[in-house]
Parts: sequence; C-alpha cells; structure tokens
Amino acid sequence: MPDEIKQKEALIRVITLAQQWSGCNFLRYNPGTLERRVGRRMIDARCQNISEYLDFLERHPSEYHRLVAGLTIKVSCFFRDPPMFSILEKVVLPRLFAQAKDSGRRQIRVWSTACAGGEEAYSLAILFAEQTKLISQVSTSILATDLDPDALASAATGLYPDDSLREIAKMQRDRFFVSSPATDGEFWQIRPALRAMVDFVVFDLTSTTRTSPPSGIFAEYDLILCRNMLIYCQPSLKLEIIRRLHTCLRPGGYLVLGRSESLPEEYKNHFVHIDQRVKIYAKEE
Amino acid sequence: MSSETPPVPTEIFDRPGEISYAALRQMYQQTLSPMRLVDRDLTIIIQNPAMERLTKYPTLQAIGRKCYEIAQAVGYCHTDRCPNAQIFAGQQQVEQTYDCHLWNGDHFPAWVLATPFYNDAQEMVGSLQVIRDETHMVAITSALEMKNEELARHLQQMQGYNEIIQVLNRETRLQPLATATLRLLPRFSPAVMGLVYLFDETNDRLVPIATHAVSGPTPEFILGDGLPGEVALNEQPIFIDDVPSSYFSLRSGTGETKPSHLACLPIQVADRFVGVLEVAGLKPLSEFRIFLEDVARQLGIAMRNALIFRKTEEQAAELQAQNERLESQNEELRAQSEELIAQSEEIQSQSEELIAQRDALERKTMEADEANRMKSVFLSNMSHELRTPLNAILGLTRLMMDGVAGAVNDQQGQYLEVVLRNGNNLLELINDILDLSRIETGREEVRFDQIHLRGFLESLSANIRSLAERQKLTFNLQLAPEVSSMVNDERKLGQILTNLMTNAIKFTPKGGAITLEVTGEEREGRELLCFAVNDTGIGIAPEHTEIIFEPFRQIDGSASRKYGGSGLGLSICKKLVALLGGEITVRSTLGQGSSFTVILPRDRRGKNRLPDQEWQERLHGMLHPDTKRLSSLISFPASDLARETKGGEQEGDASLPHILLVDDDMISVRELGVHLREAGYRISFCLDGKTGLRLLEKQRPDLVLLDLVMPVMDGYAFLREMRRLPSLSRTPVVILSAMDIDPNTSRQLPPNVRGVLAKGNIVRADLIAKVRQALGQPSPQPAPAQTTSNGSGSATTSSSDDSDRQTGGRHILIAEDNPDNMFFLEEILKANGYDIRQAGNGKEALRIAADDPPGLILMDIQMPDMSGLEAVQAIRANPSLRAIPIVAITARAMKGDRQNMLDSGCDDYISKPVEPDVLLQTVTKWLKK
Repeated sequence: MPDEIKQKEALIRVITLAQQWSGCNFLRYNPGTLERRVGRRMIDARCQNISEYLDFLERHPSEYHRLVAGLTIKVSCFFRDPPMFSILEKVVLPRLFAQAKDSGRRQIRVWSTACAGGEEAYSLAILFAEQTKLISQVSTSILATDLDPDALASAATGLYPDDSLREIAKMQRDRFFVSSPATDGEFWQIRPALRAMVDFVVFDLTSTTRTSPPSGIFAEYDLILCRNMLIYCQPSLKLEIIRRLHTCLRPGGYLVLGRSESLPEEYKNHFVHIDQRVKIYAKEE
Repeated sequence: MSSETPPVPTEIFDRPGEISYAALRQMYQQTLSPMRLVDRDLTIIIQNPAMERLTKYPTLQAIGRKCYEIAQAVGYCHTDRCPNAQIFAGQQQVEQTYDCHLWNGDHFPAWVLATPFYNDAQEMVGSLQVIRDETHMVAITSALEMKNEELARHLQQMQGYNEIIQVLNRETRLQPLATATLRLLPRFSPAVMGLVYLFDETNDRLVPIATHAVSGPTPEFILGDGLPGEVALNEQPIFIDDVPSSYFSLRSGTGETKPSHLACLPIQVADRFVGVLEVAGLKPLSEFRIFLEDVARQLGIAMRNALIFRKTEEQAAELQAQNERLESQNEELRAQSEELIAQSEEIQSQSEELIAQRDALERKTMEADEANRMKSVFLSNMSHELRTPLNAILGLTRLMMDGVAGAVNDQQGQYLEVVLRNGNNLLELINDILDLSRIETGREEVRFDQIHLRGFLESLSANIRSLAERQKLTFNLQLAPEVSSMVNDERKLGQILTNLMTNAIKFTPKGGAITLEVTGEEREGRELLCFAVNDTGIGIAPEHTEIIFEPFRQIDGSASRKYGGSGLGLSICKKLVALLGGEITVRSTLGQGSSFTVILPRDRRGKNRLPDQEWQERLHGMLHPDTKRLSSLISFPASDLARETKGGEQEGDASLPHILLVDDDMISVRELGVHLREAGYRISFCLDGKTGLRLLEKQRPDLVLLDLVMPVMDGYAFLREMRRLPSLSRTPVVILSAMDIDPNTSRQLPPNVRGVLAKGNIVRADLIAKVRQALGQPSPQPAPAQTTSNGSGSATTSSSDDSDRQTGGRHILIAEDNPDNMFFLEEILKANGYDIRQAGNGKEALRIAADDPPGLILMDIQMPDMSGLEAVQAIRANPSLRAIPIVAITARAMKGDRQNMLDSGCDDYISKPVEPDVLLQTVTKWLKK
C-alpha cells in the first residue's frame, strides 16, 4: 500500500531528524516503541498521520525538543522491582563478596549500563554500603553509564523527588539522603558519601570500538545491570548487547535484566537463571 | 388440767427428811404424768387423776378392771413384751413406745414406763405404769423427717443443676446440648421424657430439635398452638400435675406416652425467647418448678451461645466458601490469562515474523543509509583531494591565458577557455558537495555568535549589490527597526543568505529587482527572525517548489547549462537552515518571481542541547570538582595519594617495581591503581602530562602508563618531551587509550612505547601481562592475546607496468558523452599519434566497434542511452569483438569498484580526472598485447 510505505518513510525521516538533532541513535530502537512514541507526539501535535507530523516537525523546530524527550522516556525510582533488589541483597551480594575473597580480589566491580537518572546505581550503592563489615575488606566500584549526558548530569547532581524514594525505609532514607531545603522538602539530595561510591560516565552500548566504558579500563565486571533497555531494542541489537555484556562479565558474575526482559535463546545456555521470580542470571564459570 | 395451783402445804415433812402424807397425796393428785398401779392379775389397783384424764375413764370405775380393758397396746398386751409382765418377771424398769388403743377406740402413740411396786413386806405386789401421750412428739419428728427429705431433694436438684450446667458449658452445638440436658433431667427430677423446641423466628414456629425417650413423630407448633405454642406466646411456664386420663387428649409433644404430669417452660435469655422445654413425669413436676426453671434458663443461655456459635461458624463457612469461590474464579482467570498468553504468544510469533520482515526492510534501509553515509564520507574526502590539484590547474590555466608563459594561439586559447570553464564549474561543484557532505555526515558544528544584524547584513549586501548591478538589477536591503541582533552561527547564516541572493540574481532577467527583507516575528512564544529574499525572476512552478530543495535534482537539465551552478545550492541552504534550528519556505509565481523565506530562532541557544564539548566540561567538573575530593572517590588510602599527587615519595616497599600513571580520567586511575597494587606494584599518578614529566624526572619510575587525550599536555606531547630527556627517553611506556589510534600514528610512536592497550576492551590479565612484558619481567604464563591489534596491512598499491611507450597505427574507440571530456581525451591521444573514433553513448560505441573493430576501447561508464557497463557486456557477448581490450573510465573510485569493473568484463580502468600520463601508459599497455 503506497500510503503505508509513505507513513513508514515519514517515520524513518522523523527518527532520522530526531537523531540528527540529538545525536542519539534512535534507529536501533524497537520499531514498535518508536512508532508508539512518535505516535504520541503526533497526537499531541494534532496531526492525522506521520507524514503530517513530519511536515509539522519541519515547520516547527521547537517540536524537536519535545520529540526527543518523548523518545527517551525515563521512568525510574529507587529500588524499582523490590523483589529483585531483595535477592540481589540476600543472595547475590554475599556470593560476590565470597567469590572476591576466595580469589584474593580486593574489589567488586559493578556496571549499571543504562543508568538514566542514576536511581539504580545509587540503589546498588545503598545495598553495598549496608554491608559495612564486608565492604571494609573488599571495596566496591560502581560505574554507571548512559548515552544521554543530560541524564548523567542530573544523576551526578543526585537530587530526587520525594516520590522516587517511596521504596526506601525512613531510616535508610535519612542515612543516605538529605532533604533539600531549597525545595521545601519535595526533593532529596544524595549524601556525599553515597555519591562518592558511584561514577557516572557517558558510554554508548552500541560503540563499535569499545566493549566496555574506557574509564573502567577492564571489560571484566562482577555484576552488570541492564534493565528496561532491551525491551526497546530490535532483536539483533538486543543480541549484540547481550553478547557484549556476556563478554564483560567475569565467569560466575551476575547479569540483571528488567522484569519483562529475558535472555535471547542463543544465550540461555551461557547463564544460570538463579531465581525464577526475578531476572538475575549467573554467567557460567 | 387445773390452772389453779393449790398452796404449798406448810407441813411437807413429818419429820426432817420425811415427806408428809399430805404432801405425797398432793403430788400424786397434782402430777401431770398419768400413773396407774396394776397388780399381778393386771387388775388396775389405782390410777391418778392424770390417768383418768388420759384414758377418759373414771377412776372409781377403772379400779378393779383389767388394765388392757382401758388402754391396750396391740401386739404388746398378753405377750412377753407387756411391760407389766416384764416387771413381774423381774425387770426393774421397762420403757416402751407403742400405739396405745383406748377403750373408746381412740389411739395415740404412747410412751410407757413401768417399775415394780412393793408392799411393806417388800414383796412385789404390782407394777407402777406411767403412760404419756406422744402424739405431739411424733408430729415434730415426722415434720423434721419431711424437711430432711426436702433438703436431700434440693441437694439432688442442685447437683443435677450443676451437672447440667457443666454439660452445657462443655457443649457448643445446639442439638447435642439440648439432648444432653434432656438425658440428665430424669436423674435429678421426676421427668422421664422430654423435648426441646427451638423458636424459628422467621417462620414463627417451634421446631423440635432434641428429644429424650419420646417415641414416634414430634410435631412442630406454631405460636399459640398446643401447650408449647401457648408457652411460647405467653412466655410463662405451665405445670399440669395429675393429668386426668380424660386430659390425654391434650396435644403435646409427649402426647402419646400418657404421662400423668406435664411441664412446659419457656427458654429465654434476658427477654429474648429462644424455645420451649417440655418434660413429662410419672410424679408431679410442680415441685421441681424452680429447678426446671433454672435448667430452662441455663439451657437458654447455652442455646443462645450455640446459636451465635453456629452463626459464626456458618459465617466462617460462608467465608470459606466465598474464598473457595474466589479461588476458583482466580484459577479461571489464571487459565484465561494463560490462554491469553498462549494467544499472545501466537500473536507474538506472528508479529515476530512481521518484525523479521520489517527488520529485513529496515536492514535494507540501514544498508542504504550506511551506503549513503559512506558515499558522503567518500565524497568529502574525495573533494578535499580534488580541490588541491584543481586550484593549481585553474591558477596555471589563468596564467597561461594571461600570456604569462608566452603568447597563446587561437586553438590554445580555445583549449584553455574550456579548461577554465570546466575547472570553475568543477570547483564550485566540489565545494558544494563538500558542504553538503559535511552537513550530512554531521561534521558541521554550530557556533553561537552574537550577530549585529545591520553591520552583518550590510557587509553581506555590498558584494551582492555589485553583483546585481553588473546584471542590471536593483538590490534593496530592508531591515525592520525592531530587529537588531540575534544569536546563531554567523558564517552559516551568511552562506545561506548569499546563496539565496546569488540564486535570485541568477534567475532574474535584466531590469529586475532583488530585495532582502528582515523582520521579527513571535510564534508560540518564541522570538523568530524572518529573512525573505524576493526577486522578480522567472519563478518556479508550484509542482516544483519541493523538488528544488533536493540535491542533484534540477527542474530542467538545461538550467545548469544556462544558469550555471551545481544545483546543490538550495539543498545546502535547507540543510544549513535546519542545522541552525530554522526552516526555509518558498512562494513563487511562474514568470513573476520567487520569495524564499528563512525563519530562524532569535536565540539558538537553549533550544538545542549544549555542544558536546561544553557538556563534557560540565560533566567533568561535576565528577571531579577538585582533587581534594579524590580521597572519597578512590578506594585506596587517601594519604599516599595526596603525597603522590604532590610528587612526594611514594609509599610502599621500594623493591617493588614502580609504575607512574598519567591519565586525567580519575576513574581509570582508580581502577588501574587498585589492580596494579594488588598485583604487587608501587603506584603514583598524576592527571596531566606536565605534572607527569615532573614526576618522571623526580621519581624515575620503572614504567609509565600513559593516556593520550589529556588537558594541559596530552600524551603525544608527553612522549615528545620525554624523548628530549636522554635519561628518561628509554623508560618504557604503555599507552592506554580510550580511542583507537590509527595505524599511521602508531607506526610513528617512539621505540620506548612498548604497547598500546585499549581502555574498556582489555581484562586484568592483559594489563598485567603487558606491564610484565614492558618491565622485562618473566611472564608467569603465556601472554594473553592482545585485543587491540590493528591487523590490517597497508593497502596494496596497484602497479601498472612501466613499459616503453609504443604507439602503433591502430585506432582507439572512445565512448564518452561529455564533449569536453571527449575533446580532452582525443587531444591527448591524437597528439601521441593515435587514430580516434568517437561514440556519444554505449549504443553508438557498439555499432562503430562492429563496423570497424578498434585496437582498444576507452569506455566511459556513466553514459545515457546505454551505460558503459551494458556496452561492455554486449561487446563481450559478440565473438568477433570479444578480444578487444576495454579500459573503463570512471569517476567512481571507491574501494571495490575496481573489482566491479574488472568483474563486468573490462580489462582495466582509469579514474577521472584522467591524468594524461596514466592514460597513455594504460593505452600503450593494452595496445601492445
């Protein structure tokens, strides 16, 4: 159908423009996701179809900002998916410390691959910070990366709305956050000690020259989190990312995916699914 | 008995201690104890007045009569038990109680005491009998006995009551507790059978729930009906003792058992009516009224509790049932959802199929995009390479035309004019292509300049005005007074406007007018500036207003010949405008003129993200606010770090190999530091090359780990400086780079660089192996494969045989559609003695070749009608022409094209622009064969 092809082409054009404007590689996102998100903008802009929206976009440069924001929706809060964090705390962390101790390593290396606003990375830092006894013997390095420098900047600032702290107990909250006086207590500031546990660096998971963030030097991690990113990726990209993460995991290390994500068939034999309730996988030793 | 008491006789004693006769007589007469004296023949000798009153028989007549004639004891008189007989038999005292029957038929319980009576000679002559009426005592005794019995009965009832209460307390179910109560009642009351009715409030009925010893059916009663119904109505107990036989027609629950005594009691708790207790006994039940009432009361409480309990249980059961229902509904939902999941999986698989199809489509799109990008990259490289020689050619041509190198004849002048025109066109085209590809490959950066519009536009207009005037056109600049400045990329804006205005001049006939009109506008809260370039030119047809912005699309091929230009100007404008955050539109009427309007934001900043550079600086600042915070960022002790930063003595065992880290990325420093220390090295570090050099001189480390991109002094500069210091130039260096180094650069690295490691691609073992290798330490294990090797060798240079030039008389067929090119090729070859045939396209070439087979064919690949490649294939298909060597002439000089060319049947190829030497070499080579 000519019209369908026309719409399809218009969509690709819209994405290409957004890509040029922002520098983000959207074309490798899931086509369905892209279509839905552009569709949302299209409705907001009161356009009947994508080609009309393309027209609108070309005539209204101010729409670019909204389009790109819409394409990179980031929802998160601390300890999102509490069961996963619970198992991380009770099962995975003790094993990581034991593994490090057994092999004489003095550091546990963690990589939060799509950290967005940093909630996940700080949640991990809290889990590690709570292991006061163990952490005195084995240090922790948490590297949080994202494609989007804006998101990283806000993550590094460490200011979060009250609502995103809903999964954190009051005692824990007061230990790791300070109510921001400038915002009437609607925002919380990460305490410097916790802030210092996490490093934020721009890294593109589709980079062709580097397997892992150069800053981290080694493509060798004990724990890698890649949550709620693969759902937006096309199967080929998803496979590529899993291959990369598999390479970057130390044997016996752990990979954590989002609740509605799973390993591609090709990699099911390379990992052990440690708990059916959550998406935590151990790389075969 | 006389109430009058006679005066005590004054003379009681005859002598002291001896009672007088008169006193004795008085005592005998006055005593209330009835006495009589009986002789051995049981004849009454005398009796006192009290006896006379007791026997109601006159004393005078009684004397002489037998004692048993007056008062006899049945069963005692005329037997050995007769008290008199016992006295006469020698007993000193006999005491007896018996029923005493008087002569007149009266009788009374009597107490008799008999003692012997002696004469003066002390011979026993009679028996003295005292008889007392005991009627009074007997009554008292029997009353006592009755009281005792009653107490015993009460006790029994109390026990029964207790026992019933215990049973009731033990039992929580309605029916068992009623039955147990009925079963216990006979033990503690005369009841022999019984029933308990429960009041059914909803139906106003009494329903029997328990029976004891009742045979046959037990009916229900409605309120007011029958004995239980009446009790229920009045809530008063009914007791019927000694039910007359006629009464048995009375309807009751125990009806057919023919009991003689009935009791019906309401069962109540507080004022709430619960039911009826009916009992029947063989003895009167009214005596047990209180007991039965108490039992009924306790039964009421128990029944009430049982009812509540039952209700609770029912509710619990109901809850349970509800739970189970919900559970089953849940199960159903689960099943449904599983079904849905199955369905969705099916849909998923279908959609995956679709996605696969779409992926294929998109892959193709991406491939196309990639090819497009490749093309752009190539073009931009190519253009650079082209521009340099072209400038030389043009410059020299101009010089030649100006006669600098001596006089030029007409033919030479003609040649030079063609060269110059084509050269200029080519240069313009190359410039445009370069611009376009820079924008398309995203290499064009936007600057934020504060532009003062009047000055900017006036200097821009100065050039345009003179150009316009040369064409006999008027030019006008109209700047709205409210518009004074804007923030955007000044150079690009100038390029856009110049382009539009030169275009306008180009397409406007003599006498026309060009205006540049600049106005301010506010749209959706954004301040915008409109730059309108208006002309009175030939105009554009409405159907072409879109096409004109597309690259390499010209409305009419002849336009470029007539008006010149590459045809890329507008598409460059459009791309630049988009880059500046604006838009370009065109309004035009054919034959009357066009108006191109560029709308730009007044301030470009804030509408786009900051340039990467700026972001990185900010991010860096955020991540590494100052070196003081180092201690919190790095896991090993802060103290020695601080010292090392200042360049002081490094801590640790001096016998350990010492490594200096020179890297501005603190995270990298930390990661390297942690692991190298773990591996047994001493570490010091600094964040820029300059400090690095200082530390190098001061500390003399055994090895330097060097980053390349750093502020103050980068890695390359560091290496250069290092070479100047003889004492340090041989310190081994291992480069750790975040970016790939191109092979050329890496070949030029100084010899003390012992290796290059790619940050992010290595594992710890790689680093340690490389460090050991660089330090000349023995490798504990075979060194792991290096992940960073740049294996690709340098491209092989194609060599053409440098054989002697040998021209033959054989002719050459040139297939070329561009007359200038044809002229050029022909001139070169003719000058070298070759015979030339010309063909304007593939078809023609085929025809000419068939007519008169040439010794060699030079084939332009891009030609109308029949392309070069098609022509080559056709020639190769013709047996008589197959052997003719064909050299392709092509502008495409991309990697792989050569192979393409050779695969398609050409023997060799020459790329445009054709160098005469190469042409002649190639021609000679192939003609020789």
